[in-house]
Amino acid sequence: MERLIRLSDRFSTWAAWVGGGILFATAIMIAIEVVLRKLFAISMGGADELSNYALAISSSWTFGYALFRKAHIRIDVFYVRLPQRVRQALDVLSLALFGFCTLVVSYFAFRVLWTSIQRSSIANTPLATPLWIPQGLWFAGILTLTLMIFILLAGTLYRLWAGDASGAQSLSGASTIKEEIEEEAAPAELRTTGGGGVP
Amino acid sequence: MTIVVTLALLLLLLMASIPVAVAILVLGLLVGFIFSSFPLHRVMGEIFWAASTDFLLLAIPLFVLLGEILLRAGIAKRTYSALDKWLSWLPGGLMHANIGTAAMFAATSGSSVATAATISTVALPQARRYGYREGFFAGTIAAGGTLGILIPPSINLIVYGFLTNTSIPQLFMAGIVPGVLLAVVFMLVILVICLVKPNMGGARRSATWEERFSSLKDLLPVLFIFAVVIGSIYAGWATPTESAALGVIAAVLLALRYKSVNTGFVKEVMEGTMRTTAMIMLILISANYLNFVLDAVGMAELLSRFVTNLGLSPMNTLLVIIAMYVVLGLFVETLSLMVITVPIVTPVIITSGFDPVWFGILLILLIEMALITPPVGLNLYVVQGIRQKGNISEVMLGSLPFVIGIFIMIGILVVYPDLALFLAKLV
Repeated sequence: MERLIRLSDRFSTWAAWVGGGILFATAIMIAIEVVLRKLFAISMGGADELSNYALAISSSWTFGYALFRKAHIRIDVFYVRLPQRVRQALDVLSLALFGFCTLVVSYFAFRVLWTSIQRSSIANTPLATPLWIPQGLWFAGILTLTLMIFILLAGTLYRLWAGDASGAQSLSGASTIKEEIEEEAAPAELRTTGGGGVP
Repeated sequence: MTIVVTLALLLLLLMASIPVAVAILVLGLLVGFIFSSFPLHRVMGEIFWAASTDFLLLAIPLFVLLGEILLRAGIAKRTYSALDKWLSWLPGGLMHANIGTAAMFAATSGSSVATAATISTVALPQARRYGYREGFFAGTIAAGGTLGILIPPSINLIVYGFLTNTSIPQLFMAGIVPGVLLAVVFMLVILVICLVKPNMGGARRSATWEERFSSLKDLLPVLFIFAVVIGSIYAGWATPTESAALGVIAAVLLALRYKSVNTGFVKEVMEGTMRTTAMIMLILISANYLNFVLDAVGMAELLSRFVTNLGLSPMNTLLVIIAMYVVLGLFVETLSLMVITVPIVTPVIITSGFDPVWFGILLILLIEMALITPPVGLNLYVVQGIRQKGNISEVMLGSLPFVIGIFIMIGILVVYPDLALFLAKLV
């Protein structure tokens, strides 16, 4: 179980690097397109279409990363004032509802993909992209998210059952203020060590 | 009936600390099942795919990426040092440089939290060195950071534009003047407080004109990014998404010039970008589905009729809405607050005869207030987190004068809507 959690965590981080890389490549492509269009009145065509697919694919593959980093916002005004038992129940309920939703979304995303495959749908653009390619990658991302949610849910229940409350909390508890600040401030702190020459 | 049940369900889900994106989606499913005779959920896949591939939404990850690169490229330090030379002779000293740097950085960053975090790391060490009251000093940073979402580019304005079908270029242009004015209001607040109670300020510092002019070159990077991003939109060369892509390239060039790029830099930029992007995208995609369901059950019409039946004048309606945001802003995280309320409130505002672009700017001011009002005000916690000593209540108290400053700005914008709209009319 623990190994599975570690693996998914590492996999999701890897997905974030790839997702970020795809977005960066997209930025380069769009920038080239704008400059060519403005300066030389040339259009490569299709840059925006590919960018749209890049957005769908990079986000669907990194929803799981945000989940592992507790970036999905939860309103914790009441949560923090509740006893531990209730909080644990809410953590499990949150993951269960999340899992239920992604199952529903996966099913309907698959229907979109299946329709495209059956009708051999092609994007109504100069590129004429066969839609099953981007939609397939997008659907696979959502399916991965669903899988990760159920791994996290199983891991939380497993740790609770083993009496490891803080371990369960670190998997699925709402992010504490301390964790949030670490995420936000980590990059900035790096630079403080870079020198204190101001002003 | 529909309104009451929908609101009750939403409150229940949110209070149970269900992730906001999930709460919104569950609400969309439930409202569809209860109030519509059509199987609305059958088109869920198509709606998700459409939102996931919306070219406009691509602007959000690109602006996040732009911010992540700039955050780590060491630009804020140079800007701060230059503005220190120009502004620190005023009563209040370095605190004016805090606001000035925040305003400049806001012109390249679409996020308030990122702006506050950046300024904190550069400025907070100076508070100790020059003997400032740390609570108030930290308050100026928390408040200054909120400018990040008012002065374009702004991720929150893109979210608003997406949810209400309002022109993003117009919203961006409309944010410039109120943003600069709010920075001036903040500086006036500091000035007045330090004139009345001189012990609130620390050492004032002076610089020679030669030093000042030679420091101007350190402002160039920020102006360069702003010119690329906002200039290309204003000139009509690029859509907001395209301008964000140009901004990313410009930021990379700067980071390369400052030799900040290495493997660690790239990894952190990618991780930071995707964490924020995935969070925002999931909320927006879910919200888009909820909007579709609410449209199908005629929610906007129901609400508008409800408000019309209340018989309030447009100005009273506006005041009620402002009051609602002030109260909700105390407790609810800001992006969630926007996504949940904007689709419901904006139709009412438009029915009352207000301009959607103008309301977008007003809303951002209210969101800025929410960012520095306790108990839930993320900027306060970010600044305190980097300060790492003393008590958060000092930062809360230090930010309070700026809450009044934002109120004043809201008043100005209500009385003179053209402050926002005259630039918006040019694009």
